[in-house]
Amino acid sequence: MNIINFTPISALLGGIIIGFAVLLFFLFNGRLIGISGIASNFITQQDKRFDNFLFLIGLVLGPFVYKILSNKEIEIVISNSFVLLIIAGLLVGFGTRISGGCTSGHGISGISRFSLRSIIATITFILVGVITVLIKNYL
Amino acid sequence: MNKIISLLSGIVFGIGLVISEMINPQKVLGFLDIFGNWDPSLAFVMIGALIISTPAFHLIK
Repeated sequence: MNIINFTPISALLGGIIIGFAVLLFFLFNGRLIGISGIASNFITQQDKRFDNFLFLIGLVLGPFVYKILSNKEIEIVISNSFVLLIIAGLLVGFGTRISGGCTSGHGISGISRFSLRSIIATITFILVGVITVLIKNYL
Repeated sequence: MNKIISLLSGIVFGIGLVISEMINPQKVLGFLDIFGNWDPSLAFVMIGALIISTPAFHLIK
Protein backbone atom coordinates (compact mmCIF):
# COMPACT_ATOMS: atom_id res chain seq x y z
CA MET A 1 0.00 0.00 0.00
CA ASN A 2 1.28 3.45 -1.02
CA ILE A 3 -0.42 6.62 0.14
CA ILE A 4 -0.63 9.10 -2.73
CA ASN A 5 -2.55 12.28 -3.60
CA PHE A 6 -3.60 12.58 0.03
CA THR A 7 -5.14 16.00 0.72
CA PRO A 8 -6.11 15.90 4.41
CA ILE A 9 -6.61 19.63 4.98
CA SER A 10 -8.87 20.36 2.00
CA ALA A 11 -10.71 17.08 2.69
CA LEU A 12 -11.35 18.03 6.31
CA LEU A 13 -12.34 21.59 5.39
CA GLY A 14 -14.70 20.41 2.63
CA GLY A 15 -16.16 17.86 5.04
CA ILE A 16 -16.82 20.54 7.67
CA ILE A 17 -18.60 22.66 5.05
CA ILE A 18 -20.72 19.63 4.07
CA GLY A 19 -21.51 19.13 7.77
CA PHE A 20 -22.76 22.71 7.99
CA ALA A 21 -24.92 22.19 4.87
CA VAL A 22 -26.51 19.13 6.52
CA LEU A 23 -27.07 21.11 9.72
CA LEU A 24 -28.56 24.10 7.91
CA PHE A 25 -31.01 21.90 6.01
CA PHE A 26 -32.00 20.04 9.18
CA LEU A 27 -32.47 23.17 11.31
CA PHE A 28 -34.76 24.92 8.85
CA ASN A 29 -36.44 22.05 6.99
CA GLY A 30 -36.47 19.43 9.75
CA ARG A 31 -35.20 16.79 7.35
CA LEU A 32 -31.89 14.99 7.01
CA ILE A 33 -29.83 15.37 3.87
CA GLY A 34 -29.24 12.34 1.75
CA ILE A 35 -28.55 13.19 -1.87
CA SER A 36 -30.05 9.95 -3.20
CA GLY A 37 -33.09 10.36 -0.96
CA ILE A 38 -33.72 13.93 -2.07
CA ALA A 39 -33.26 12.94 -5.73
CA SER A 40 -35.65 10.03 -5.26
CA ASN A 41 -38.29 12.12 -3.46
CA PHE A 42 -38.03 14.75 -6.15
CA ILE A 43 -39.00 12.17 -8.76
CA THR A 44 -41.52 10.08 -6.84
CA GLN A 45 -43.22 12.48 -4.41
CA GLN A 46 -45.40 15.54 -4.94
CA ASP A 47 -44.76 16.73 -1.39
CA LYS A 48 -41.93 19.29 -1.10
CA ARG A 49 -41.01 18.64 -4.72
CA PHE A 50 -39.88 22.22 -5.35
CA ASP A 51 -37.74 22.25 -2.16
CA ASN A 52 -36.02 19.07 -3.27
CA PHE A 53 -35.56 20.47 -6.75
CA LEU A 54 -33.97 23.65 -5.36
CA PHE A 55 -31.56 21.62 -3.23
CA LEU A 56 -30.46 19.58 -6.26
CA ILE A 57 -30.05 22.75 -8.34
CA GLY A 58 -27.99 24.27 -5.52
CA LEU A 59 -25.82 21.18 -5.43
CA VAL A 60 -25.00 21.59 -9.11
CA LEU A 61 -24.54 25.37 -8.76
CA GLY A 62 -22.18 24.99 -5.76
CA PRO A 63 -19.06 24.21 -7.83
CA PHE A 64 -19.77 27.16 -10.15
CA VAL A 65 -20.22 29.49 -7.18
CA TYR A 66 -16.93 28.23 -5.81
CA LYS A 67 -15.22 28.74 -9.15
CA ILE A 68 -16.43 32.35 -9.36
CA LEU A 69 -15.47 33.11 -5.75
CA SER A 70 -12.05 31.43 -5.79
CA ASN A 71 -11.02 31.84 -9.43
CA LYS A 72 -9.57 28.33 -9.32
CA GLU A 73 -9.82 25.65 -11.97
CA ILE A 74 -11.66 22.52 -10.88
CA GLU A 75 -9.95 19.29 -11.80
CA ILE A 76 -12.19 16.39 -12.73
CA VAL A 77 -10.96 13.23 -14.41
CA ILE A 78 -13.68 11.03 -15.86
CA SER A 79 -12.13 8.02 -17.51
CA ASN A 80 -15.18 5.91 -18.30
CA SER A 81 -17.42 5.90 -21.33
CA PHE A 82 -20.81 7.60 -21.10
CA VAL A 83 -22.58 4.26 -21.50
CA LEU A 84 -20.75 2.90 -18.46
CA LEU A 85 -21.50 6.07 -16.51
CA ILE A 86 -25.23 5.73 -17.22
CA ILE A 87 -25.24 2.05 -16.22
CA ALA A 88 -23.24 2.83 -13.07
CA GLY A 89 -25.59 5.72 -12.24
CA LEU A 90 -28.61 3.44 -12.55
CA LEU A 91 -26.95 0.87 -10.28
CA VAL A 92 -26.18 3.56 -7.69
CA GLY A 93 -29.80 4.73 -7.81
CA PHE A 94 -31.11 1.18 -7.51
CA GLY A 95 -28.75 0.26 -4.67
CA THR A 96 -29.31 3.41 -2.66
CA ARG A 97 -33.07 2.93 -2.75
CA ILE A 98 -32.74 -0.66 -1.53
CA SER A 99 -30.38 0.41 1.26
CA GLY A 100 -32.33 3.59 2.02
CA GLY A 101 -29.38 5.93 1.67
CA CYS A 102 -26.02 6.77 0.19
CA THR A 103 -22.69 8.26 1.24
CA SER A 104 -24.43 11.37 2.52
CA GLY A 105 -27.69 9.90 3.87
CA HIS A 106 -26.14 6.94 5.66
CA GLY A 107 -22.48 8.00 5.86
CA ILE A 108 -23.07 11.46 7.32
CA SER A 109 -26.67 11.97 8.46
CA GLY A 110 -27.18 8.38 9.65
CA ILE A 111 -23.82 7.85 11.34
CA SER A 112 -24.04 11.17 13.17
CA ARG A 113 -27.29 9.92 14.71
CA PHE A 114 -25.54 6.62 15.60
CA SER A 115 -27.96 4.64 13.44
CA LEU A 116 -26.84 1.00 13.34
CA ARG A 117 -28.44 0.52 9.91
CA SER A 118 -26.40 3.45 8.55
CA ILE A 119 -23.15 2.20 10.07
CA ILE A 120 -23.71 -1.23 8.51
CA ALA A 121 -24.68 0.31 5.16
CA THR A 122 -21.59 2.56 5.11
CA ILE A 123 -19.20 -0.26 5.99
CA THR A 124 -20.87 -2.42 3.34
CA PHE A 125 -20.62 0.04 0.44
CA ILE A 126 -17.03 0.96 1.26
CA LEU A 127 -16.08 -2.73 1.50
CA VAL A 128 -17.80 -3.63 -1.76
CA GLY A 129 -16.22 -0.59 -3.42
CA VAL A 130 -12.76 -1.69 -2.24
CA ILE A 131 -13.37 -5.22 -3.53
CA THR A 132 -14.63 -3.87 -6.87
CA VAL A 133 -11.54 -1.70 -7.36
CA LEU A 134 -9.32 -4.61 -6.31
CA ILE A 135 -10.92 -6.91 -8.89
CA LYS A 136 -10.79 -4.24 -11.61
CA ASN A 137 -7.13 -3.31 -10.99
CA TYR A 138 -5.48 -6.60 -10.22
CA LEU A 139 -7.33 -9.38 -11.97
CA MET B 1 -37.76 30.78 3.58
CA ASN B 2 -37.63 26.99 3.24
CA LYS B 3 -37.01 27.43 -0.47
CA ILE B 4 -34.03 29.70 0.08
CA ILE B 5 -32.61 27.35 2.73
CA SER B 6 -33.00 24.36 0.39
CA LEU B 7 -31.15 26.14 -2.40
CA LEU B 8 -28.51 27.51 -0.02
CA SER B 9 -27.79 24.15 1.63
CA GLY B 10 -27.45 22.63 -1.83
CA ILE B 11 -24.93 25.30 -2.82
CA VAL B 12 -23.00 24.93 0.46
CA PHE B 13 -22.97 21.13 0.09
CA GLY B 14 -21.71 21.53 -3.49
CA ILE B 15 -18.94 23.90 -2.38
CA GLY B 16 -17.93 21.36 0.28
CA LEU B 17 -17.73 18.67 -2.39
CA VAL B 18 -15.52 20.85 -4.62
CA ILE B 19 -13.16 21.94 -1.84
CA SER B 20 -12.77 18.34 -0.66
CA GLU B 21 -12.35 17.36 -4.35
CA MET B 22 -15.06 14.72 -3.95
CA ILE B 23 -16.57 15.81 -7.27
CA ASN B 24 -13.52 14.22 -8.87
CA PRO B 25 -14.24 10.49 -9.37
CA GLN B 26 -10.49 9.86 -9.32
CA LYS B 27 -10.37 10.91 -5.63
CA VAL B 28 -13.16 8.52 -4.72
CA LEU B 29 -11.57 5.67 -6.65
CA GLY B 30 -8.27 6.45 -4.91
CA PHE B 31 -9.96 5.98 -1.54
CA LEU B 32 -11.22 2.56 -2.58
CA ASP B 33 -7.79 1.47 -3.85
CA ILE B 34 -6.55 0.55 -0.37
CA PHE B 35 -4.25 -2.21 -1.60
CA GLY B 36 -2.72 -0.09 -4.38
CA ASN B 37 -2.21 3.67 -4.37
CA TRP B 38 -4.39 4.66 -1.47
CA ASP B 39 -5.77 8.17 -1.03
CA PRO B 40 -7.38 8.40 2.44
CA SER B 41 -8.94 11.85 1.72
CA LEU B 42 -12.56 10.61 1.61
CA ALA B 43 -12.30 9.39 5.20
CA PHE B 44 -11.24 12.90 6.25
CA VAL B 45 -14.22 14.39 4.43
CA MET B 46 -16.53 12.13 6.43
CA ILE B 47 -14.72 12.96 9.67
CA GLY B 48 -15.03 16.68 8.89
CA ALA B 49 -18.76 16.42 8.25
CA LEU B 50 -19.34 14.22 11.29
CA ILE B 51 -17.46 16.64 13.58
CA ILE B 52 -20.16 19.20 12.80
CA SER B 53 -23.29 17.07 12.41
CA THR B 54 -22.84 14.58 15.28
CA PRO B 55 -22.72 17.04 18.21
CA ALA B 56 -25.36 19.21 16.54
CA PHE B 57 -27.90 16.40 16.13
CA HIS B 58 -27.39 15.20 19.67
CA LEU B 59 -27.69 18.69 21.13
CA ILE B 60 -30.83 19.49 19.15
CA LYS B 61 -32.63 16.25 20.12
